[in-house]
Amino acid sequence: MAAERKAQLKVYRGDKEGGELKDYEVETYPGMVVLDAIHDIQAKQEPSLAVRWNCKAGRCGSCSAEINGKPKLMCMTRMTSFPENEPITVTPMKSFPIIKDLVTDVSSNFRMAKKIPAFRPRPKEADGTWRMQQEDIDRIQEFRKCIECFLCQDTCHVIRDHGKAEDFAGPRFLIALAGLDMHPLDTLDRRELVKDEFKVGYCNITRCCTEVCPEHINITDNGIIPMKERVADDYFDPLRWVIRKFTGGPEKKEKAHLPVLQEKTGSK
Amino acid sequence: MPAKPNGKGSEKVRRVIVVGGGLAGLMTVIKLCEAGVPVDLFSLVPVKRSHSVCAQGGINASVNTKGEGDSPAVHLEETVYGGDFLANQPPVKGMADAAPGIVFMLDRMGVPFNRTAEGLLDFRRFGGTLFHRTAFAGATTGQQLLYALDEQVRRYETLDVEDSKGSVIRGEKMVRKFELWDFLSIVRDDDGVARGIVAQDLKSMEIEAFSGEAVCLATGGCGIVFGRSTNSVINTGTAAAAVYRQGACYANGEFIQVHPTAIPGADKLRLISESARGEGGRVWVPRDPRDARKGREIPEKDREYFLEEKYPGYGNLVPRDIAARELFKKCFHEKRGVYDPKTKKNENEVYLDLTHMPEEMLRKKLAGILEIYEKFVGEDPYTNPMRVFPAVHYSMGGLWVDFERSHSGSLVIGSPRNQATNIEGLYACGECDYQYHGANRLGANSLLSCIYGGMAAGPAIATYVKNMRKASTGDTSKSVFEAARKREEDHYKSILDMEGDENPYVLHQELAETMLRDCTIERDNGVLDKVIEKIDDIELRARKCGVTDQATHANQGAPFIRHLFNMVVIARVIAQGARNRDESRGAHFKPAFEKRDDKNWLRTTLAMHEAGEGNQNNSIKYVRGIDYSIHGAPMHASDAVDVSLVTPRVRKYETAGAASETAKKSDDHEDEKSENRAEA
Repeated sequence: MAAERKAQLKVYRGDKEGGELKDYEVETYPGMVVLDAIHDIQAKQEPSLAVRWNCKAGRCGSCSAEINGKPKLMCMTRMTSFPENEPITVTPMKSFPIIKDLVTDVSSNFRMAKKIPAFRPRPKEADGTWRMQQEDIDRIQEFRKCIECFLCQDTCHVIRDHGKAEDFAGPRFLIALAGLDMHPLDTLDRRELVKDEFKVGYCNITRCCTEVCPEHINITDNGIIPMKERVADDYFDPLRWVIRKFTGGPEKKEKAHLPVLQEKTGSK
Repeated sequence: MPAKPNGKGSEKVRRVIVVGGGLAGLMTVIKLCEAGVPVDLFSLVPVKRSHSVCAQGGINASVNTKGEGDSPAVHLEETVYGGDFLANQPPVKGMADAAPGIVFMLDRMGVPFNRTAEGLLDFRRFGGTLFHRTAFAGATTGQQLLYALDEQVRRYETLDVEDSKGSVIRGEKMVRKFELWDFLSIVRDDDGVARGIVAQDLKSMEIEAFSGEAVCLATGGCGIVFGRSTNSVINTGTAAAAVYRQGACYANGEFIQVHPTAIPGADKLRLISESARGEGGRVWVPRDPRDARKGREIPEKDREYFLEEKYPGYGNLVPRDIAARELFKKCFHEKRGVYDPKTKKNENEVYLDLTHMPEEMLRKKLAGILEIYEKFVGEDPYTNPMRVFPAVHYSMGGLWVDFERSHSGSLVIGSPRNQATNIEGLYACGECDYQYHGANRLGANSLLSCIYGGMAAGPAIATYVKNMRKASTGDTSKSVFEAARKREEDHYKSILDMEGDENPYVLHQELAETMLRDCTIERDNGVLDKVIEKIDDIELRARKCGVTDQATHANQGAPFIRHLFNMVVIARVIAQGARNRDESRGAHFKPAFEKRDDKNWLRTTLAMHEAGEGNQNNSIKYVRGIDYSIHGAPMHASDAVDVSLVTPRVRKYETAGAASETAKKSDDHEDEKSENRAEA
């Protein structure tokens, strides 16, 4: 372990009116992560520095930021992962409106989440059980590891460069939809929504989301591409269209609707 | 047409306020919505960031898939036995009986629980039991449960409120969420009844009062009082402390669980779930305290598996209080922790070894946990024994809540007494209540108690609210809300105006260091007196903090000072409770009083706040019973523990099956009876 040393940080200070990078120096210690450095600044130098964090174990997804331009969780990024003599730049996620310093407003994601029709299971089997195979569970567990840090949304160029946060589900919610679609007991067909409302077509598979995911979810290959294929099968494959026309197709799931569009709800 | 409520809030609809968006809070919301009661949900962080996401291991339910003879009766007995008989037993029975149904419900909400080869729910082992009772979803069970409940709540966020005739009230949804709001206090009317809350928007820093027909706190534990713990930083206990200051009773505060296995760290302690031991992990230290070899190079004969040797009955899966104490003893008293040749010291670490298990199985069942170890220690836990040490983890104590016992010794679901605090209209559930774990919680019972607490609180509040509507003589006057808002705003302004030279972060550090060192695994009256002096000192100095951040939005320094004030209050409850209780029970251990003393201490510690006047410090008044009322009907509860279902006995984890002795016996009787019947 290296002895005590100092690290230089450039941290973004500002709000929606504008801001700039400010220089700080902190003493490092073994095991220190970037979030520790930010806290050190907050406790000793700059009490007004705003940062969001919570569990400090890579589970809650609060402390997302861009470190040297790369979307990362501050609590899971060791100081030693950067060259010793170069300053470390910490800036807020660029794709979301800034509130203050490192804090951004990620509420567009929560609005998107609300649009996804919830899981609706089929009835139990005759013996009262509800069987699923571990293989199926493994597949959806991967997507459900997501901690909603929104680093993937931050890096996704559809959201980042084209400003489609309210329009495009983005990687996070496409894997949520994939998790529902692949759940062996779910009875809703959300594919039309995936095509028209969540706009799976916007994704052009640059795999940036997979690269930044701190949970190592294979977002593109295991989630988005299968969803694209399923949508293509259902809506754009002429052969399947013909077969469906004649046979009525495979067992049909009930079509899902956007929950917010429902007028009268809540049966007594 | 409902009358227009006062205070900020809904114009057309009367709502109940739930504070806290973890498992307990969300379950309460769901149960209220099912009963047709609209809710305002307040949360300090976006709900999915709540500390429930950190729970790794699983949730207990005696489904008995593996045909081991497990049953809710056994679950009840092992829970109260593990809790050293300090828990009131009817709520525990209610919880154990409901557990299988809860797991099935979660399964149907889409939680991806692991499966057996037959496609049925799989269960693993956890501490304090010999049965496979813990359902799990990989290593992220808490997160999966939280996300599933969140999905249900989101559904209610899009559902319209209907009036009593079934027509839609325009623009009103069943749930309104207020995320990133800090709870400040409840609003009490002239009769002392809770009628709403005051909260602060942490983005705009605005302070507002909200009316609610009842308030339910589900605000979690207080691990941050100890600084370095396995808890999330939001777990300061500030909300519970705030209502305690307003007159709510705080029970069994001195019972703080220390988890035996965490990754030691300078900044925070990261949990290694008990499931590591449940899946076969073994705890050991080298027999030779100077053994400089690496863990994996030390052969079997040179290892001391001290838990297995001392407790052959339950081995590595003894309850957490016992395991933590043994680890502490090894490291601190016997100086037998892992020897580090570099520092030439025996570090405060012991080995938690999984290397004898097949890697493929580990990757399947524990990957999430082992990843954290790999990430922060930089060692591969599949080939190297992990180095761990105990860390503060959970608060068994919390806000005192009532219950109504049914004829069968369980809970009367729907009784307005369940989960009710001694302030009328204020309810509590989840880790911030004290109800289900006695003196020591068993692993994987916390997710269960959060959900069951919500399932008890929701119907209780719905009944309370429905009865109130009948009896209601009019609304609380607007001035009550305005006064409450003004009080909190003045308080906040006074914090912003503080110009002292104390640094609140440093004060917190001092408090935390003292609490962690002197008020956790081993306690001593002389030392505790000093802890209380230290708390006195910090309470005085906290009034002389300086605030340099005057920002009008996203200000973090000023709310921290507010939380610090409340942490000092909770610290006092913990330390003073520990000082008073001259016995050893569960997580509370005093070497000078080594035995459990049922004659004097089989009772709940009931603490009431007494505010210090002027320059005086706060103090605590201990009571032996609680009187409160619900809609004018007087209620009384004493501090005696309801042990009507399982008679207290001394814990003996040396003997296999000791924790489930009587349930097993009565099962055998049942069998005999049914055999007799069959013969007849």
